[in-house]
Amino acid sequence: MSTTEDKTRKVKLVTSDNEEFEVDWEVATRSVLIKHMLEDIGESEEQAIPLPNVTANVLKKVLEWCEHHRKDPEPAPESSDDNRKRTLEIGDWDAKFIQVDQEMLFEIILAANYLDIKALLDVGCKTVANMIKGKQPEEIRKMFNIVNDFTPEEEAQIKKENEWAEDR
Amino acid sequence: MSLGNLPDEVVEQIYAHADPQDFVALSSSCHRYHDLLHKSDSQFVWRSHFLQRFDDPRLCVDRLGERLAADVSSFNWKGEFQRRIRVQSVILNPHLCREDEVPGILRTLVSLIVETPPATPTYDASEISKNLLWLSAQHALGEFFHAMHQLELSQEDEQYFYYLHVLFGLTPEDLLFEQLVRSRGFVYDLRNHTQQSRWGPYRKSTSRIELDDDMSAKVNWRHIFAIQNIVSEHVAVFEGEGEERKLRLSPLSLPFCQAHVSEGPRHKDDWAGVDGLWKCSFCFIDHRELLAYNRKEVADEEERDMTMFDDPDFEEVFRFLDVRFTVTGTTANPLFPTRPTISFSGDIRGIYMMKGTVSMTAEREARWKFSSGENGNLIWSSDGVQIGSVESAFGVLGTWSTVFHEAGDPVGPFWLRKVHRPSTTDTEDERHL
Repeated sequence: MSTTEDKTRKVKLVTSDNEEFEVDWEVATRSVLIKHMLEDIGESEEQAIPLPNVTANVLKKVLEWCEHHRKDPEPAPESSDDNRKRTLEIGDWDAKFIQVDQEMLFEIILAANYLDIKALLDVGCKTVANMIKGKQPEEIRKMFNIVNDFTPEEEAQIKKENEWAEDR
Repeated sequence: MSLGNLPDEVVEQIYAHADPQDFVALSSSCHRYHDLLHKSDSQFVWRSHFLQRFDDPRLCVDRLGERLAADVSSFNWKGEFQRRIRVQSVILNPHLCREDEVPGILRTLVSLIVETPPATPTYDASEISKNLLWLSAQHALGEFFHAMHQLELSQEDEQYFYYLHVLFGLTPEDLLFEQLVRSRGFVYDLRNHTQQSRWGPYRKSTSRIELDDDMSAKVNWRHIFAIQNIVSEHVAVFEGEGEERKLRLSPLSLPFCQAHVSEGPRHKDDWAGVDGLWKCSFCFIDHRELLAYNRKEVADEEERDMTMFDDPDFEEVFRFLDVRFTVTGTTANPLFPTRPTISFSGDIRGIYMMKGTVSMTAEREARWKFSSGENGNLIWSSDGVQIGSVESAFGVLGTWSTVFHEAGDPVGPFWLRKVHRPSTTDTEDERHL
């Protein structure tokens, strides 16, 4: 499969709510899942790829990201998950892109996970990490509607368990 | 759609992206997030955070050349990560440090420095120890040393404190002239150079049996610190004068603690990297001044009058020689089967002038002991230890005197450092550093 062919090639994607998207091969294959599916069906087929776990409004957003990052170098396959650098700051474009409500943020994260787009998953997870920066457990519960299901004894135990991280 | 809808592996990714204090807060919000962090068999989050900051324990070697971890599952990622983050917090805020934590913190820091992955002869940027980079980024270490110095440390902890200080290198406080005067006052004090201290930078012992056993030597890190201070004065690059003086580059500091394996042929049992070319540097002062300094009787714990070293006319001489060391044989070390005692000889352009041994002491320090002289007349005796990892670029620091060990014999500090094959970009000056 030569690169020039890939560039002109279009890929059809069908969302869970039955909307069809036609995108460039280069954009679609930002998703490792789609890339592998395309490899499986072979290039001669004009078959549409079903994405039963993604709705149209989320896929639209995800494809916007893929379009912007279509020229990014592929992540090195040998870089193990362990050693992947996670402290990288989010780029300007990505920061703007990810300024969405919580509902959409978690939809994007789920889709990135399902479609296997590591760089987008990183942007999403890093964004959540930034949201909890400097927050106390109670503030985090409020932010994400988490119900505190600890007994007071358990809470005391956890406080003790977390002493190693106290920094002031 | 909310955080609660994300599968466990995605929440783990969020943990991996968050700072320790923040993911701890998230894990304290409810059972699910707590158990995900603490009851996971894979320790993914802990391992991921550990490896972002520190050397992979599967690549790190200890003093005996053993890997710190054989595989992923044989390492306590969570415990080790927590221990190190606690150390970081204490460095930043020494007042957080509980008294009972001090010994553990000092030892954790030392092991972070001396147990790193060895670098190959090429030593490219990817081989630089992450532990050492992490420590270099802890800018508050100087203040931390200062705070530790104010504490009443036990003798053992005080040794660890000086050990750590030596590995780290000189702090701004050490650059003050008064400190150099104190260091010279210590090293040229003949009371610190006795049979009880094995005529070297070792802790005093009065037990005959102990003194007869070379392996039982315990390093006196305060002594090594003074030697480091003196040698640095001659080999480090400084900027500015007086109180404004800053250290720009010192070969006797943290970045040089990593093992740098040398090129070239070596004896099969040469675990210390003895075979090869070494730069042997040493300092001395006028013998009459040495005797004058030591003339007056003073009580054991009392300091001598150090005004002599404060005098602008005081002069200390620094010299170095390039010596080729060749391993001549090994003898078994009953304590460490994989670390036989290495015997070596040294020559300058083919002229024999040195013989010695490198042995692993019971406290796992590589001890270098040698005698030297000209025309087969080996009258000088030197004794010291490798600083940092075995085969570190930091080299060996110790003291020299005569083989006769007579009262009033000259003494001084020495520094041995392996000369790596010169690359095309190295100048003679740079290699000296």
